[in-house]
Amino acid sequence: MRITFPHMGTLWLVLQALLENLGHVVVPPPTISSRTIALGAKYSPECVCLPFKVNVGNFIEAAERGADTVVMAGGTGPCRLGFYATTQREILSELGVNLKMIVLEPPRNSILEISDIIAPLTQGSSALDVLRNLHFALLLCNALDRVERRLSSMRAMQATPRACDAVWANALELLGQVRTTTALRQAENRVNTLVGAVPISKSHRPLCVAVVGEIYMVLEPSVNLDLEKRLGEMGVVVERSLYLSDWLYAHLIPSTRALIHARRVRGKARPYLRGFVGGHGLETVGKSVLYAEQGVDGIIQVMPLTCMPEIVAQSILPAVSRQYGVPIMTLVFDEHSGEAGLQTRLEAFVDMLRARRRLAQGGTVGGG
Amino acid sequence: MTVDETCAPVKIFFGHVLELKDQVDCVLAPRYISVERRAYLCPKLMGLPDMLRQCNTQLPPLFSPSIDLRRGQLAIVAALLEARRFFARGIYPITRAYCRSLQEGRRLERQLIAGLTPEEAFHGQERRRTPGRRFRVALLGHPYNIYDPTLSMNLMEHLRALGIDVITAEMLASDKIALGLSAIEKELFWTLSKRVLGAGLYYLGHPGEVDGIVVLSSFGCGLESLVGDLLERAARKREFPFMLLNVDEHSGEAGLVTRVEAFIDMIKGRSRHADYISPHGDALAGVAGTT
Repeated sequence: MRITFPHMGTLWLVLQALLENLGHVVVPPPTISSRTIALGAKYSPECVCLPFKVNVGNFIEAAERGADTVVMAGGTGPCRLGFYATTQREILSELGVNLKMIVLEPPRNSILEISDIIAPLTQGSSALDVLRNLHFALLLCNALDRVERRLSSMRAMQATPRACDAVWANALELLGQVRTTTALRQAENRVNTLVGAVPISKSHRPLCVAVVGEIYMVLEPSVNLDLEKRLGEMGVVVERSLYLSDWLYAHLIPSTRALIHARRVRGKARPYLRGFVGGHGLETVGKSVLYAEQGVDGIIQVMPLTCMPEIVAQSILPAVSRQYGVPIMTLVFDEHSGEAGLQTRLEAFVDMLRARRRLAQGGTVGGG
Repeated sequence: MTVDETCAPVKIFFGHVLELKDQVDCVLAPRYISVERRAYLCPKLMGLPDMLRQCNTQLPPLFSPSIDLRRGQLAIVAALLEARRFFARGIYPITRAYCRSLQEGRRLERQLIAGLTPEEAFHGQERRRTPGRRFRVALLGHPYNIYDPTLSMNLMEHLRALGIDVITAEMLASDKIALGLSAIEKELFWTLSKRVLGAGLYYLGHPGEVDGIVVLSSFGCGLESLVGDLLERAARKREFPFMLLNVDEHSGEAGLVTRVEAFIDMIKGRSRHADYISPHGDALAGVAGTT
């Protein structure tokens, strides 16, 4: 079995480590490129959301590299993700791409069904082994997220351009290779030294922008066109609402902290949106309120075109914006999104935020 | 009033509310989460009253009980209690009203299965069926699309004018829909799409019952983006006449009529030529190869 999976941010490093530790041969799909997106868009339904299309592109390219099995997540709605696999299987079989799909559906009745669900992936390993490997994958995921989080806030203050990007590329290289807890600790220490060595200029107090929205668009830089890097290079500190580990703690790993946080987010959303609307729609609203209360300078919502839960959130965010006086911009992505258009919109948004800050400090809009 | 990205039915809903708001004392906009076990309606319907509340216009009081029957029919009690609070009436009149509406609903369902459109059933009309109609097309889609003459641009009337007997998923008994759905290995979790997909797959499995399938979906509909595509692929595999129409508030009627006419011509042509040479795909290549 040569296993592959769809890309989503740093997920591939975590899954690769997990599956290799479980004794599988892993064929990660090539990094998402314009070819990936073009292939996906060509063979996917026209109006489906971008993550679906990129998945299809990933699968085709992984099959070209020799993968024969796909592992992906299922779901029980109302977001489309839960029905991705059914449709993608049809597309691949029509194309003659020979990929077996292992869909990990959430348990229907009891949490104990989990062992049956992951059974195709854990054959030959003892339960203890599986748990140990899952734990390692979680540690790796946490480590990656810690580094990325630090870099996201540092990029705005880096003294040399792209210094943070270089460190991030190094970090992916170093952390992606480790397979044991001890090696992980050593690798993270080395990465931390690298991060600490990034020259910082503390001449100005940077703007802070929160990024909220649909998980795939938030996590995957190649489809959000490096939104975080772009903002960082404009001297903006990015507060990202979601990391892979946050999702794991919210959905797969029992965690009191995550539960309390989720309750808090729901509570903040309640005056605007009374309940769950699928995907991360409710979280987008709740977290926007939280960020607004924390006093961020602006909020950016990212979503794929036709994303149903985020459309609900998008309709409601103007009310949050009015209430807290915080600018909120929505960016909608699909396979036709262009870098220049995004850059222009981001520059205009950031310019506006700077002008607001100058005005608030008693200056003028133009800063003269 | 709405964000650009949302689908035309939601925009029309907002239009309805804005048009009616000065003539009424209260707006009923239920928060439909689920009307059956293990299935939802759609994320936008789940957020509809909240979207309405944030639209920055003075609205009459909004009554939006949550209807969430994912865990069983009994959950309707919560919505009834909300109604009692809102209307400040006793539990008896509320329950009686609910029972009457259930009765009405069942009566409507029976009439739909007998072949009436909701419009005809509401107005107590007879089923419009002229004996000369030889061809039958299944028109599938969400009820708020296919039965709305504005959004569907009179699609049903156009089909009838071309001498077609139109049937919809609502006219199909639920056991047949379940039969159609059994071809899909994963249980679908959207009630409205279950109907569309189940009816479509049923007709594809019983090709004698209809001569073609038309799916009408609104642009940006997340459900139909997948379900419409699944049906299209299934129809292609069986070489069955199938057309997917995607409409939004910018669609023009003339374009729609042209496509419908071409589709119907194709269906009629298929029946005239008993050897079934389809002017499409492999058949065309085969003809070219022999010459």
